[in-house]
Amino acid sequence: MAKVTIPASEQAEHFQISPDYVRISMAAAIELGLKPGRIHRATCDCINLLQNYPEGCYANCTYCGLARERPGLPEDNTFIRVGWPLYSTDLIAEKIAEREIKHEVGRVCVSQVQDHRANADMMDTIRRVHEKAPQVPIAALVSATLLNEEKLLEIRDAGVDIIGIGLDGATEEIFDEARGKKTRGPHKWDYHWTIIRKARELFGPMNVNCHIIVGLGETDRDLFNLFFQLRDEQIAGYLFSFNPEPGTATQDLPRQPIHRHRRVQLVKYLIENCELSPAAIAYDDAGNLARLNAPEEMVNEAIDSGLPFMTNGCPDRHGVMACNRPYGSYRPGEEYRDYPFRPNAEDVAIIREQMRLDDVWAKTSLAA
Amino acid sequence: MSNIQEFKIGADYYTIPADRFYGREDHMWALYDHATGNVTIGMDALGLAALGDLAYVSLQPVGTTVSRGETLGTLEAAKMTGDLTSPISGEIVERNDLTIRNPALVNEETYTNGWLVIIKPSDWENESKQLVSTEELPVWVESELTRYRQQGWID
Repeated sequence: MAKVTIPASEQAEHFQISPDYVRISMAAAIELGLKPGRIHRATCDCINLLQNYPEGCYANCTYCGLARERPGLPEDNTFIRVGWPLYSTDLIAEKIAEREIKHEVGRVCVSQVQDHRANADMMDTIRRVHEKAPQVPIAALVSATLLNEEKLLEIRDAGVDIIGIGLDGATEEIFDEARGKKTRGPHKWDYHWTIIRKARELFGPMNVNCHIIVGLGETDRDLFNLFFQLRDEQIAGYLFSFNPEPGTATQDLPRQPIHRHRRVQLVKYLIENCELSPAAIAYDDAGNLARLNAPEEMVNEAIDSGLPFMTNGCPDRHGVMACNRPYGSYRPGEEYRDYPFRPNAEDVAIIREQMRLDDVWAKTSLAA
Repeated sequence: MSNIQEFKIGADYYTIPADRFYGREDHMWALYDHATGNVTIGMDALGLAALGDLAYVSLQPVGTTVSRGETLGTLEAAKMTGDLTSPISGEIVERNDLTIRNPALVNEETYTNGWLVIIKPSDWENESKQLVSTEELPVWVESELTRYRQQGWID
């Protein structure tokens, strides 16, 4: 990352920084009419806002486009492989309000980066959006490292109803390697869980979500154990598929094969919605899925619904998934990793082929 | 008539110059060079407005023979992909590798440095009659704006 020599107290005069400016996802910019274009087979119902500082982010996560030690200027770098255009926060708030009149905005999500100004600036951004569009639900995607109980309460009192936390690594070891001490980053596994559980207590069941990246080197057992734990604690798990960001430390790490991602998506759905028990899953020596003992009817119904393969995201005010992050984990010309819409029968046929489930599925009967 | 058609989408203005021909549905432009007899091909502003800022461009290699309507390559925007179809038949004699390295050039210099390929046409006289000509341009632009808005591709 380029070294910024202007002190933080003077940066607002020289740079377009938060809270007066925010970055916005390309899909949201298209949806608000700020960028030309359209989104293949989907709409973008969640307006994702990201804080902007000249230093980027002080954390150093190996896979992230905003990482402190990624080469290049932060303003030129991509985040999840596409540019995040920068706009004045007030303009964005006005556009959200305008769109809310024409067509309900599903949700707004304000995302923090690791910076000493991030808490105060996030509150300011939330206030500006809330003033212009008071009906629109707001989620905060926070950096747990910056928070404590008092700050979580401030966020809740500002009108935020959902907290998202990037856990990203499925185990402490993966977390440390990708985000924690082994990266010279500030994040700590135990403290993340402290904040996740405190947020769960303050915001209520399923109103806290953990982001989990599939493909950082974890095993299936690591993931499924985490899914069982999250289910038991009534915390939502949002899956992401690792996709190497050019210029980051993991740019050469291969993506996981599609069949693995599909199986992970399916098992997660069965754990969360069909009471799949830990005993129904057998692992090989490497800790990966070797056998799934699950009833034919249950599994086929889940697959045919298409629901396991949709993006995991926060709901709108009616409980319908709003944050679908279209083409966030893959390019629009590539196969879908998560579907930003409900897959149709044709999509489901492709999913079945990709998943190769018969290799690991021992069909049982419902009565078994 | 004006040598340029200007139209507005949202707050932004776009142009369609009248010095060339256009594919009726695919929004590819074709500029005939009287000196060489070759035709430079690109995508017009309305087609690009519906796609958005380009992230990737792929083009067929030089020497490829294409028929009218066949693919010249693909464009990929941040959240959308589109095929590039050839408005005429012929042989690709040059391709603009600058756009492969910097796809933003197609958005930024649409009718100049953002060209995609040069084709040596095999039947320009007949096929150009199937394209939108200078005289038809105002009516065609209006009808295409209406079609794109109805499809929800532009505001």
